[in-house]
Amino acid sequence: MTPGIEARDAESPVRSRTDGSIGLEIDREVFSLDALLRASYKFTDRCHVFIHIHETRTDRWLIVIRGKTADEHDVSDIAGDFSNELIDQQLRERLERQFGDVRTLIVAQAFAEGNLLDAAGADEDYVEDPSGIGRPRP
Amino acid sequence: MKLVFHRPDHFRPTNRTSTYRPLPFRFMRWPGGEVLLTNDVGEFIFLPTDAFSAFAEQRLTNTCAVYAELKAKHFLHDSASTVPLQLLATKYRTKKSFLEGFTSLHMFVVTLRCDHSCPYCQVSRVNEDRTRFDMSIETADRSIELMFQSPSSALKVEFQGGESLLNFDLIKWIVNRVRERNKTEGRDIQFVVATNLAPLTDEILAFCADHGIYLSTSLDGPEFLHNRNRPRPGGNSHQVAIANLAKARTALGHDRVSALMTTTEASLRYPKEIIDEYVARGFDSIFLRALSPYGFAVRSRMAFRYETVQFVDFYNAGLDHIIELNRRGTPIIEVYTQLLLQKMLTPFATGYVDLQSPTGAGIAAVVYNYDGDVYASDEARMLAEMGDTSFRLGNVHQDSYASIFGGARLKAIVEGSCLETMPGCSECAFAPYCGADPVLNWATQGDPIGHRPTSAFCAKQMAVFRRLFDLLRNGDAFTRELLVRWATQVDTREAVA
Amino acid sequence: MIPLSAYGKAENIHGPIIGRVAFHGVEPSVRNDHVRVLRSSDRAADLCGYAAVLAEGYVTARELPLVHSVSVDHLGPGDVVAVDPRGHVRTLYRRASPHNSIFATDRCNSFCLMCSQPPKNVDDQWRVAEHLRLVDLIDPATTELGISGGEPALLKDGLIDIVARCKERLPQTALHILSNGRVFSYRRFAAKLGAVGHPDLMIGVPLYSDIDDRHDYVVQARGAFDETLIGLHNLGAAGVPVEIRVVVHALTWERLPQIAEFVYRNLTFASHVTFMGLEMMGFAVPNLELLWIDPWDYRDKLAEATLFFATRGVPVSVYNHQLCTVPETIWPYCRKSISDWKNEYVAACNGCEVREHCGGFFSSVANRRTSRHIQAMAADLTARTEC
Repeated sequence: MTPGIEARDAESPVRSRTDGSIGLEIDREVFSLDALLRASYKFTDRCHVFIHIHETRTDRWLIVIRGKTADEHDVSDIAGDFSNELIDQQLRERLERQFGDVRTLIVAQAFAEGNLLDAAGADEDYVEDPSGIGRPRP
Repeated sequence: MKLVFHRPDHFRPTNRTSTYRPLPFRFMRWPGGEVLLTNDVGEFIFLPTDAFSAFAEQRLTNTCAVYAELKAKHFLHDSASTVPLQLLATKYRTKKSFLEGFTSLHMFVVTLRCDHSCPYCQVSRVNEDRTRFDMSIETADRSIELMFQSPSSALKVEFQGGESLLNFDLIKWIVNRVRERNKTEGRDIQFVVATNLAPLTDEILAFCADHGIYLSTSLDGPEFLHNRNRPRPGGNSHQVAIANLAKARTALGHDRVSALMTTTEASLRYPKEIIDEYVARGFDSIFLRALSPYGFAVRSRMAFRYETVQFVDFYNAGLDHIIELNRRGTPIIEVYTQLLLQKMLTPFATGYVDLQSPTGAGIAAVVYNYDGDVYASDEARMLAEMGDTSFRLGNVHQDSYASIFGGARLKAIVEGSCLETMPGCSECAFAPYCGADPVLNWATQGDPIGHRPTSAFCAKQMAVFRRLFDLLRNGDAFTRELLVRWATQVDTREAVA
Repeated sequence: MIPLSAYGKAENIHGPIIGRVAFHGVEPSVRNDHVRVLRSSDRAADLCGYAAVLAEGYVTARELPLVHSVSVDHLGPGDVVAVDPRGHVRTLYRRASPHNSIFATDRCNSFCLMCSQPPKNVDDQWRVAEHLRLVDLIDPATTELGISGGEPALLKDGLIDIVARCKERLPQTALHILSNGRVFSYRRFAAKLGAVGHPDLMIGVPLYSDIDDRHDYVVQARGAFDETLIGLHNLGAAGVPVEIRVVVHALTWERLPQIAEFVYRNLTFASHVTFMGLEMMGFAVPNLELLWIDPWDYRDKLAEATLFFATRGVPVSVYNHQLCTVPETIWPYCRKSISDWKNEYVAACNGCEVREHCGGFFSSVANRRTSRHIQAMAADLTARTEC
């Protein structure tokens, strides 16, 4: 079972609603709003996505997905894809925290005149060789 | 000196737990239990799903097979060294080097008059009063003035229309003026005339030969298709074009005349026939251009999307046919494929202004219209002819270089066309290979940023990238080598208009 | 193997003397640059004013710098020799040879497992003066000159001076420096070399892996990979042409295609790439078990890496591989690269019809290992050896 997405009944993490739409409860501790929005964006061609805070459990969102085509089978598939997409978006967010700064630095260095990564080292005296690059193997 | 040689572990950590950090990358789940990873400079690797999970969750050990590949391709780093970042920065700079020199392609719309009435063109005026729709000398002079304020060391002057040769006098004027001015400027100047070839005369050819001018014409396919797409009085556009093509090649040299096709609904059924026509007419390359949405303003979004799906079929069939022709000894290149493969397989930038991030519109290429209005692209000009001036940057008679090329309008266009910050694109693994086209987004979706899930352009790009990766990985040896040679044995610094 | 050294008995020599070999008299104003060679059959001649005299037979002279009883068969006119008080005559330059190289220094900051010229930790900055004198005496019609060692960059400004002197005295001579590139990670040093503006300079820099610790292991120096890459980038930024050299052996062959991809992506400014066979001299001898692999066993990876560059229009060469040990697909890229003074063929080469296209072997191979696949090849292969 996918963590953070609650099963409403024992067999399925997805709740069918009477109007043919699908409801998903998303744990707000596990998935950020940003990840949720990014995942939702990808489905806005096939369906309408309604995002609410759960009426009784405020640690959850309630996502209602209604297919643009009136095909119930379609919507169940979409719910599965949506859950997987949400996981990937959350992963992307975590990765971005790990390397977002590095990307900024790389792009800045790409267009900078000087050396942003090793400003001190760039102009060292090769005769004095403070880094000991010319030292013979001991 | 004692001879002591250290073992490998003296040079790397011996413990099996990795202390690596990921370097910036994007990923896309791939059919068959794999994940495609790409970095900002277009290097890529396919990982099995479990290896990807291990990598993303910091569980990868430095002795496992993919670790070395990820490290060498700069997807992870595991030391305090800044060298990987310096290499990435250099590579990034190389990939964005199309920005150097700023605007290098300058299109002069010398007239709107034309003897053809192609349905996909929105600008031509047939048999109109020549003073109303011809560029004046004053406008030409002002445009040349602006052009030379571009810092680019190479300038490509492209004459457009209507049918540009109908105002050949002005073309001569501009060529001479530019060459005169260039005596002190010392830029590398290239001239191209876009023409349907119908008005070609010996005098025109002699002038082109004298000044090293290239010709670029339209060939939409075999006669029945070409004439259907490109009506003119007498209905003989194809016959005239072919006859004058031969004359032009004789006068200027075979390689000085190139051809472009425009793909229409009608074209979609005839990929092989169109390609065979190009081969028969002695061309060694063809650009399977996507359907143009312009001129079909009344079509619905969904209809355009459907046609785009059909275009993918057209493209696939066309590419297969081209590969087969090559296999049988006929060297013909598909230019769009070549362009995408350059982005995927080489460290170099490409000069195709319609597939860049930020868009090349305005910053790499600019259009000076017959009336002095300046547009970010030819498509922007077409939109204006249909009543939409959203991408008009100014006027050569009223506005300075600074306000046209450094003004708020162009800045907004550029800021909104960096894939790295656009929804749906910023995380897409194909981002390093793709580009933004705000004019296209505006025309088809009503918003320069565009809406990715319903974007026909995005759907087309994704389908093409998937196909190319499939061919590169699963194609036979001939196909794989052919594609690599297309990508890598070309001067990638040439601007492709 | 052509000798580059000879020993005789020295008289009146108090320090190193360098001069250009002359088998006949030269006019007095230039004698100071020349070393007069006397064969046993030569009559005594006017020997006044020469930098030194080399006599094949027994000769004696007062005050004249002289080495007698020394073999001179290996010398040719225009060669440059160095003569020292011990009677050692070193050939520094052979005019008739296409392979001339200045031995810059014994020192090196790496300690490669296969080093063919093991370093010595000595202060030999004195060599710079000798090298400058040598450049003055080299025939300006010389097409190519190398600088190697040891690590030439350790001469620091001395190397800059030598390159500048070559530009001045030998403007038509292509200069090829072999360097591990590490000292050029000092940006100003690379910039200074670029600023000399030598018209035909190339720095050949080895790279043994696309992974830092594996390269460092082969060169036996931590941090070497990083320093080499930064050095390469600084040279590129300074406008100094570089080529990448990969020695293929047991520790490098498996990642040849990945090294190729790495060079292609990260070193776009490299003018040329070479894949080189192992020279079994120096450290390669004690490390042979670690390094040896029959080239026939790595032929597929070598071909893949070579053709990777060829397909992409990057100039590529294969050195020191016999044609019978590599696939024919890469014969067009195999060069006759072994310096003539250490170049040989073996018995199995007799009757080989592509011998004239093949580089043969290092002289050092006589008692070492060769591929089990060495064999005479059949003709009709000239077409395949043209690039």
